[in-house]
Amino acid sequence: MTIFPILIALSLVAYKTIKCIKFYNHKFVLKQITSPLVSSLIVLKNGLGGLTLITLFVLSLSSPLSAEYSPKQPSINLDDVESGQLLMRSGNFLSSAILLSTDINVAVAGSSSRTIISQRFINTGETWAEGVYVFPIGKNAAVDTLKLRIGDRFIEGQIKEKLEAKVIYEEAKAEGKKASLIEQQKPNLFTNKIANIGPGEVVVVQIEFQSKLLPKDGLWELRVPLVSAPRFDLDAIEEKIEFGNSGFSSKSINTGFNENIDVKILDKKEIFNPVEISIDLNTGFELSFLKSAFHEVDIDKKSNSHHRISLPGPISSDRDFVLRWEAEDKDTQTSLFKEKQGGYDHLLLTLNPPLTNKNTYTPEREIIFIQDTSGSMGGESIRQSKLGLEMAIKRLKPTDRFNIVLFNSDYSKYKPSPVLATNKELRRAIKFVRNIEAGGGTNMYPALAFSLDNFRSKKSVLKQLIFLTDGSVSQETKLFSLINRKLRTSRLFTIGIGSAPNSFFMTRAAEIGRGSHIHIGDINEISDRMEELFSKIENPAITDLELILPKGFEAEIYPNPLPDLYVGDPLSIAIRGKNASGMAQVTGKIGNQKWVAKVPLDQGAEQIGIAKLWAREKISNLERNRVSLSPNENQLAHMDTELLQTALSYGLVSRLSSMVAVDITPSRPVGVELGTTKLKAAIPSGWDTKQFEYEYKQIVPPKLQKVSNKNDWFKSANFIEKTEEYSLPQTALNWKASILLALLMCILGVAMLMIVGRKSNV
Amino acid sequence: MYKNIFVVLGCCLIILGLVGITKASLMPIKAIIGQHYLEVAWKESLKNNKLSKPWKSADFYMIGELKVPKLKVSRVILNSVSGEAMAWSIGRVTNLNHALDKQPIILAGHRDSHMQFMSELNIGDKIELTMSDGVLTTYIISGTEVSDKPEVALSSVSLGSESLILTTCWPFNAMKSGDQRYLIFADKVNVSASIDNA
Repeated sequence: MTIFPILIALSLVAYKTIKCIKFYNHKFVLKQITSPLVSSLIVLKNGLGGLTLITLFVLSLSSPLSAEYSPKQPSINLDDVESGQLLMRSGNFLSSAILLSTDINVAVAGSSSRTIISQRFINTGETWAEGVYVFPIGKNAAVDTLKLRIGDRFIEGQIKEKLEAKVIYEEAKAEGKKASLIEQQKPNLFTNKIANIGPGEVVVVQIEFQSKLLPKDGLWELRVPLVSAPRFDLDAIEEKIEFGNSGFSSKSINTGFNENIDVKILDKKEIFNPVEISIDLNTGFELSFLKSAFHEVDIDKKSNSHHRISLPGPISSDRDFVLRWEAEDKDTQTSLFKEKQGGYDHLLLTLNPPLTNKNTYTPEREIIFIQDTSGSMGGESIRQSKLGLEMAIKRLKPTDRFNIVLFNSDYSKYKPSPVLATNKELRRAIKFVRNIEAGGGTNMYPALAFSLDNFRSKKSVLKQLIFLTDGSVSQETKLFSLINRKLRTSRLFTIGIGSAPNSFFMTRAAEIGRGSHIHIGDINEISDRMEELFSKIENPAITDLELILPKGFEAEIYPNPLPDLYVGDPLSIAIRGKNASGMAQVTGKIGNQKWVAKVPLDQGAEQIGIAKLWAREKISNLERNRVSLSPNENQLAHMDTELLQTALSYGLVSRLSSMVAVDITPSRPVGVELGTTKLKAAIPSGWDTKQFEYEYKQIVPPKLQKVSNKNDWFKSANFIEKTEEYSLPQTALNWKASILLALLMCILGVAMLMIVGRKSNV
Repeated sequence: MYKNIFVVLGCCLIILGLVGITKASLMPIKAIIGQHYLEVAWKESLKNNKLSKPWKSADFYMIGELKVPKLKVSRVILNSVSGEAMAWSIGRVTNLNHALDKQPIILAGHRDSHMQFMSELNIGDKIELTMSDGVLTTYIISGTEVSDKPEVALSSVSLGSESLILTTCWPFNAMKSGDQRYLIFADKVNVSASIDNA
């Protein structure tokens, strides 16, 4: 009896395998499918049982089956860069230059920080070298200022219109400079090439960047990467040094010099690359906690919300500097920072909500989930999305009302109008969600229009739309105007699921919908991120925020409209206008009660970087309008002019402007030879003399001093540009693994039946 | 005693395995049949000179065709890299924040079906591309790279269709998905240069 199914199964397996191999008649399939197949059959024959099979399978999964094909790997891995470094290339040898000193200056205003890093390096090589300065600036950061001193040359990064920048770039290229068109750059890493660094020359690099600090559970952290560059490994140098046919003399490092850069120099007594740090911490809220994690610091308390932090003396760069602070859990506080620039007052108004919810009631809610089930969601995206949706439904409270809307070419709904989230209803809804399958086109408009009109309660209820999609839509503009028109008192939250959702559409939709956008790329993060979002939006701290400016003060405000304020999530509003004075009012609602805060505009703390922060907000707003408003040619040109003007006058890198490195060395009197030590380099005006003016003999340890042969240098041009990120999709079907797994299951089943059959015969 | 349980368990395993095999073998079958069908549809759409979907229920369009003369490989390019589109052919990766004609052409496909041929390409090989305008452009491979992250940041100096990038998962023979990607960079050959060669 039992022999029948076995026979059928075996023949089916054989048929399928042959069919598949025939169909896909490539050598790789045969190689990969047959080798584990044959080996597993042998294992089975030897009677080793199912366990070995499973182990074998797991092993085959975890390691590639055949020898790896290896293309040329890049010679240096930028992922290893953990702090500011100057990587030197001479010939085809790369190493990191010796760091002489580091000076770090950070100004924190609310949730934004501006960092100025100055570092000095020395080229201890015997030859002229090309260097690459790298610094990990972290996420949400952008470099806008660059100053370089190489020996007696001064180079400044200047923001130019892209066309103009390109001309300079092309000129340099024509002169035989290396200018590659495609360059893979890591988005979180600032890199800048520095050409023609003479032997023994000191290089001073200063960069400034703005970044955004994000608190986690009320705890803020500022991390300054210091862990030092890998030091010169003398043995390695001697072995590896080889100069290619790049025109450098193939002179090896002389041994006398080698002895000088000994490990002894790095002795603690003589701090080799001292680090100085000063931080101006202006949080705008009162602190309950402020501490440096690893270093001893002096804290100068100006007020409860303003501290100056400095190091008692220079430290060695053996670990990162980490500063942590926490706000006191108080009701919503406002703070104001300002900066005057170009005749305008730039203000940054920050609202700091409490850390835990002070609202004593639980608001009633009405939630509509919109799930994209179009073909483009197929596969991993829909699986993750369903999981997320199920999690969200499970979080609903019995007093909440909810509905689910699905759409592809057409839309369907769970119930005609929102229903109370009773236990029975939740079970039914989860079953409904589990049956979702992806397929068909994407027609978002009718589903969104239906959902926006589907709320049935009156005003005082929290109305939220949760939109799960990959955002691959074609009529973005129509959708934006629909949201704008029909939003009324509801809020739209977009959740992007999968590896490469259309973040632009979703971020913008959430902005117009006065909600927020999250992207969940990793399946393991779903429950955490959903939990995070839902606990936040279940009970907002203040809703319906509005900023009322005093009469006569006209200003440009970003973001516009203002989103709601959520617990533990500060909101920053950037304002620009002329002659800010008078009393501004921020109004909003806590539940049904009115909330008002008065902000005297003439009293804010002066802080650098606020103007640039405003300009950055304006540029990103223009960029969004450019796509979402679908302007005509005339308006488009107007928008681009405005964008370019903002970028140029505030010195920002944007789509239309780039940074070009320009040699601004002050001219010398005729007849004075270059490199005569008598002549002190004149520092360009406006440059920080503390960092850029130095006495060579004083800052370079005696052991490293040597006469540098000054030569002419070439005109160098660097192009610092906005890089564009493309996310590369998951591109493996893994059908071979699936077939193997299924095949092993069959064999295991057959083996089981055979064993049972034999036993019963005995 | 436990005989019945084992018999049932064994049968279940066999059935599950068979279902699994059918499902998994459908993937390469879909890839090959789909490619033939797409090619026919693509030729049709080139004739009609308009962007079209290969079939009505598809959630993607055909935007071009890629050919590698050395390997006699040809692939129809779709405008999407969603799971559904890539089951049928290769897709173009785009960054929605920028105008399409200012972006390099980045094409992605499955390493174990449509982009399998990437493992046989070397620096200097020719790639031919026909986009919806019907003009054939030749590219020459200038470099390859393995990226540890599923993203690539490109300087916007590299404008438009001057550069072509092919990407797929790495390593080729691994049996599970990961974050590593293999990238092939190719540069456009000037029209005049290609005439000289001919």
